[in-house]
Amino acid sequence: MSIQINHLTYIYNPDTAFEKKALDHVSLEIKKGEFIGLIGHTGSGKSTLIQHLNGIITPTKGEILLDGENIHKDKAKLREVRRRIGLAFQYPEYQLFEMTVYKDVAFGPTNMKLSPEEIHKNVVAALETVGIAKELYEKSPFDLSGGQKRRVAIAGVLAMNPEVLILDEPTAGLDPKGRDEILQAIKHLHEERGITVILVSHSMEDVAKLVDRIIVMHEGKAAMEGTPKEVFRHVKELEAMGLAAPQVSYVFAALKEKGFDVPLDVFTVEEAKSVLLDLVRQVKA
Amino acid sequence: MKMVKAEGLTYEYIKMLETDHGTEEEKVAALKAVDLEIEKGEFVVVLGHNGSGKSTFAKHINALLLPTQGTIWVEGMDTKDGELIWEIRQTAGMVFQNPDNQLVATVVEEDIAFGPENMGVAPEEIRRRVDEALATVHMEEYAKHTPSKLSGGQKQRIAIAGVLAMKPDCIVLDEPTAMLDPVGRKEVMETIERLNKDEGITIILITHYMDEAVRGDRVYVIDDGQVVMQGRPKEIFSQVERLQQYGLDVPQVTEVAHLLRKEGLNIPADILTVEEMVGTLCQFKLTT
Repeated sequence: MSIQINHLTYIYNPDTAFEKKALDHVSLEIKKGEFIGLIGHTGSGKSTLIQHLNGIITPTKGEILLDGENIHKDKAKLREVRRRIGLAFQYPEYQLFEMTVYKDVAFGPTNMKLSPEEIHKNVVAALETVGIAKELYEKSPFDLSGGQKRRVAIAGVLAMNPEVLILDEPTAGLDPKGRDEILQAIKHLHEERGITVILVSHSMEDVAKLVDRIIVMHEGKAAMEGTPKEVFRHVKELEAMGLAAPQVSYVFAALKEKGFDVPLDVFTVEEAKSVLLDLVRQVKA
Repeated sequence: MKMVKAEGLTYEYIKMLETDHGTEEEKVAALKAVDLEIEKGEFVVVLGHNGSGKSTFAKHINALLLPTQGTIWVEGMDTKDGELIWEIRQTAGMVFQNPDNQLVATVVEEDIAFGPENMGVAPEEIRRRVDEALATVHMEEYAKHTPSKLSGGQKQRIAIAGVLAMKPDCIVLDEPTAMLDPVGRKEVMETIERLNKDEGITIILITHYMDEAVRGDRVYVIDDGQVVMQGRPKEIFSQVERLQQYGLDVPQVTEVAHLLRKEGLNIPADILTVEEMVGTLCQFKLTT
């Protein structure tokens, strides 16, 4: 399913002293199966944007088309929109509430009035996708580690079989191990289920490693768009927008400034290693 | 006198486990005989994965938790001495992860005045401390603002100002930047460094961000309730594989340097910053 956003504008508290334009004529297209990274500093409009995609807030102006159909055209269908576009909020583990991991993940599909067999199938598939072992199914979600809790919470969204999964800062506050577990699970579900993933993140390193395309939000507008290679070479522009590029990008920017012939689109550790190695060996040879 | 000294610091608690035979109790040791010393004026970083015991340690400095065995002294004061608890909390202030959970008032300056007011400080003195604290965190112009309308980085700086108004000698910060965007992180880190360098306040920073950890004078790594490594950032971060084994990261440039060394390049193991990396690479006389 493709998402088409046309001139989306949203104003908080219109016609009051607190009026604030959170989104300003944003037009974007997100294709089926894409892995999108959505970045921007706090207040840039990225949260407002994803809340629109899930139909939680209604645009002041503009429209959101899901497979060509305006999601707000028929209010009765909004429930269906929310099932098809799953949203895992920030700190989703705060929303865990059931006695067991299994029951928590089953909550969504149960509400969808699926048959018991289907519920079971969805729950097990979702938990497997996020890498939660069978031994944990009957545990209380509150006895799990931070990273596990968060994966259970994401499984709760996945169990409703969404076609698009939006994750709002899924690694915030986790340690490196918990973060790697979550990112691995997200990568896996994107590859295995082929669903569209929109990852909202402050971590440029995470985004650099995973996504096909980056959308940079700034002052309510989609300020930049492109592959990680295209976006992260604009270190100065990103900084001006209160963002940063992955640390290794700065090494290459500095080398370039000193007159060395290096590429500017290097941003992962592996790539940096091979590019630098080639450079040094070339000189020796 | 040391700012903080711990000897055999141990903390055990009882965890209730739901089993097939009903509820059972299990004893868990979050800290196991930790010995450490932090000098006055030091900037110390504590690293460790979630559940390693580092937050439990932090809460002992402020007497929010008391050792089940061993002792911890804050400026020579034993935290187990109930009489000293307010003096200890005034000496070692704490800043937590979530900026929204620490602010209590509806106006910034009232929030900062909350601590000294409770200490019974005279009104004129409170006024002076609030203004000073706001100036130190570079938030003077927000004195009359509502905390809820501030950014995450600004909220954390107000939380720090609230601690500063109590005139502490030491501030313990438990992942203060975990919920902030890059701008907020930078603001808070700059504030922390200023407090340490200009005001001489001892800083104990708990973090998951290695680029923050490299800015400290000394690093402690805690794993499974024990101190497993300690030393200057360069000594700690040059041991890439060992850190990874404890579930920790190293800065990207340190990892690149480590990989290049493995390929046989003559690169120092203790590269921590972009500048050091660039400086080293320039010596290789790359093609221009």
